[in-house]
Amino acid sequence: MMVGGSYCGGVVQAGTAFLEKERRKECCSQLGRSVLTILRSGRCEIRGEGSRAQTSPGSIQPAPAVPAYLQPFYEVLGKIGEGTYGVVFLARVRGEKEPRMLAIKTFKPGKEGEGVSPTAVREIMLLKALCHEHVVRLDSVRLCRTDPSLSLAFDYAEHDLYELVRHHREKARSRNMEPYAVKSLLWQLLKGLAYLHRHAVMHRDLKPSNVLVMGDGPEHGRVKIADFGLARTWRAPLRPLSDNGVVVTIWYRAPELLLGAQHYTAAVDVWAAGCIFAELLTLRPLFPGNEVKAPSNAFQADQLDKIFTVLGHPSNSLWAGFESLHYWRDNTDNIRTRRSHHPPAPTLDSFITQQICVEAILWPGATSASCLNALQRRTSSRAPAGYPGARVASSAMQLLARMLDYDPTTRVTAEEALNDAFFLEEPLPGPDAFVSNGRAVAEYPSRLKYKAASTPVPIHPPEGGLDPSAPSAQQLQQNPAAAMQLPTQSTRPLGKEKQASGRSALPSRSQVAPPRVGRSSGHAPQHVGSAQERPSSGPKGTAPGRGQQLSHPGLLQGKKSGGRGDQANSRKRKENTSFGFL
Amino acid sequence: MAALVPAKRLRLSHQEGTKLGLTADQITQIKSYMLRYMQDLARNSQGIVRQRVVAVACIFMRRFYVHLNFCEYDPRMVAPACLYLASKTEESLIQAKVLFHFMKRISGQHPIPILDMKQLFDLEMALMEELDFQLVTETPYDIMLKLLRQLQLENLGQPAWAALNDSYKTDVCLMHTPQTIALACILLACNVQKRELPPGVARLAVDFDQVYGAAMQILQLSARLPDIDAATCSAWIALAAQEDGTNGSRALGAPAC
Repeated sequence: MMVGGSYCGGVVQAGTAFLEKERRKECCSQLGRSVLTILRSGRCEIRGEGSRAQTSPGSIQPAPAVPAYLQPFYEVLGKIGEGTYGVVFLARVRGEKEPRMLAIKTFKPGKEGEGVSPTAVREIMLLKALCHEHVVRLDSVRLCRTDPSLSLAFDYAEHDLYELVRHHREKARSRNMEPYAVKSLLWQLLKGLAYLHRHAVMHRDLKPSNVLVMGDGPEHGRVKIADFGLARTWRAPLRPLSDNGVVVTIWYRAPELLLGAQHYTAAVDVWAAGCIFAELLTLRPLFPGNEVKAPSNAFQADQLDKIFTVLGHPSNSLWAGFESLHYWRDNTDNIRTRRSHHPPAPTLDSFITQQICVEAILWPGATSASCLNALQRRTSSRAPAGYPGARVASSAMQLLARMLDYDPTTRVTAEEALNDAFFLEEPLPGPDAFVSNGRAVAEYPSRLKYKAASTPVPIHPPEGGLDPSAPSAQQLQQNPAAAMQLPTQSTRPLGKEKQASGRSALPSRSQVAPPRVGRSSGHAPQHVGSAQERPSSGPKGTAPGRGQQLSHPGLLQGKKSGGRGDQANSRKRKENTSFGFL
Repeated sequence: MAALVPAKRLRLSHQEGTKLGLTADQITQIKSYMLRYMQDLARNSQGIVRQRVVAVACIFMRRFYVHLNFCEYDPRMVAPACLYLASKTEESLIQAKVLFHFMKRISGQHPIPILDMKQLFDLEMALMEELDFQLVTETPYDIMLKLLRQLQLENLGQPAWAALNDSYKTDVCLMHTPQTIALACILLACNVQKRELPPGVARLAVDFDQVYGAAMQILQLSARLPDIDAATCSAWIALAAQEDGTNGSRALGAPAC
């Protein structure tokens, strides 16, 4: 331990370092991982010490943010995200001529007495077997038995749908996404989903942040489904699916799950995809219900209320046999009572049209509830046709309605949806969602603010070309509230908490180390994630800082980029693998 | 799914073990013993450890020892780790402490050393690494039931099922596809009942040479080699570990017996 330093003070410094390390260890073990704040302050001290101790080899790497076993393989550039399971780093592969970027998801050791977390096992086993252009590619798995810790390296993806939607809502002044882009994104998402379902894999956690889109490179504008931590095969299950606890983030959770179905199907993924589709059209979540935190409780009254408000109170004609579902039968929270704001028949069409034509600016600081009221008040008075972007093809609305069918048995499947008339109409979907016939239809800022780490980078690089009327980054920084205080803000930050409680039934989610930045990263990676950029003065006093960060764990997911050598790699993988089950 | 392992490669396995004095038969018998251990554990678990988990665990164990030797990793400790990992991959999780409870419960019947929890987790990772993280495993059970229905041989379910359970004493699960194995077991069941395979099999897209090969392998093994008990198994493993002074059982320390 006492490694001599390169100059005379080295021994003393190493000694201090050693003591410091011991103290920290003790501190960690005494307080437990949950007492984050105390731990953090403890670490701050150490950092001060550490800067001095740097000269002595073998000095403290305070709780190494970047696991040492990754160093030989990757040059870690910074942290992209963090979740309950661990940290995601952005890294470059060492020893390859072509620079290749990976997102490395490190798993903290699972719960006490659990070994490798089941989430990691699921993700590894499925992604090792799956190989599709719209499924995130698992580059490699690294593990360290002595630590013990486990890391998954994914191709890095520059964007995700959450970021794209947020960009349009906030930076592009609610300018809607190009119909071509929306259609291509949905089409590619459904293609990936159809592939998963063909091979009996349910994703069970689809949401915008888990749908990645590739940046520059051969796969530009290509959708990649990510985060398979909740995914599983449904072939001959040994135990009922409901044993896995609550699945799907609340806003994207299908009604059969909310009502407590013991057996559910891949249709839950299609519902989530439908919610994502609507979100791409309207730039806000379709059913932003408030979650009531209760462990392993799929039932969420407010979420159901949001759904009923748009799709009507369920009835036997809409959904045969739903009355036997657990929570409906028990009439939990009086769910069987039809409220006055529940229309007798689906009103999806008009709801979406209204949503599209409403400019976020109209309700600074509004809660989602007041937004809905306002919408209802406005329904008759304003004609939606007057707004640009309010024209949604009727085929789009028809497909959306098929994806949001109450009845999971008649809900459109991913495969059927691909053959929907919507995709046969102009504009035809394409393999690059951002470029149509050689014309760039959209451009989005890079997630990688570190790129110009040597020169100061504005937090929001101004975007040219997309929307000349969009406020400059400077304007936004001066008055972010104007652009950002959307009705949906009130509920966004809940997501993370949601996430945590929603998955609490799964044993895998474990405590997390406080954020640390690898020394190599140089540039503060906090700027990279989306979360911190959102105003912390969110309405309705939700806990924004921490909550936001966690609300979109897909950010923390595998990100892809480059894709150089992709084909070669996937070919190689094919050779090594007999896809018996696929 | 992991690639099939050709017979040629399997013949190269356990070279170190054989150098140290274990015969090929002894190695086969030790593996059969570990299978029996897992099956007995499942039988005494009130249905918590499922048959398919045992089957997958057995496949994991056999794949683990394609490149590794008993003197490097003690099979008596690897087997529980295989069960534990298989319970995760088959979405039928067994809590570690529950697994230990079951292991203690059958320790009278199978007096072999029990690893501790840290070793279990360490071996789980070693296992994942050695399997190259290819954990999707298809077992022939469902396929066999489907085939039996398709060929209208439902009354052969019992003997076919028994043949399939026996097949895990051999390496057929590494060498053949689940469909081939399922059909081989049906063939064996027909054989036992002195019946012909129905003509319907001709329509199946399988290589019948492979099916007969697999069937012969299962048949030969169960006819030829007797089961061993825990003491014999331990003695043989100790033999290998002892002679391999340098790195014997490096993962787990020397075997307790």
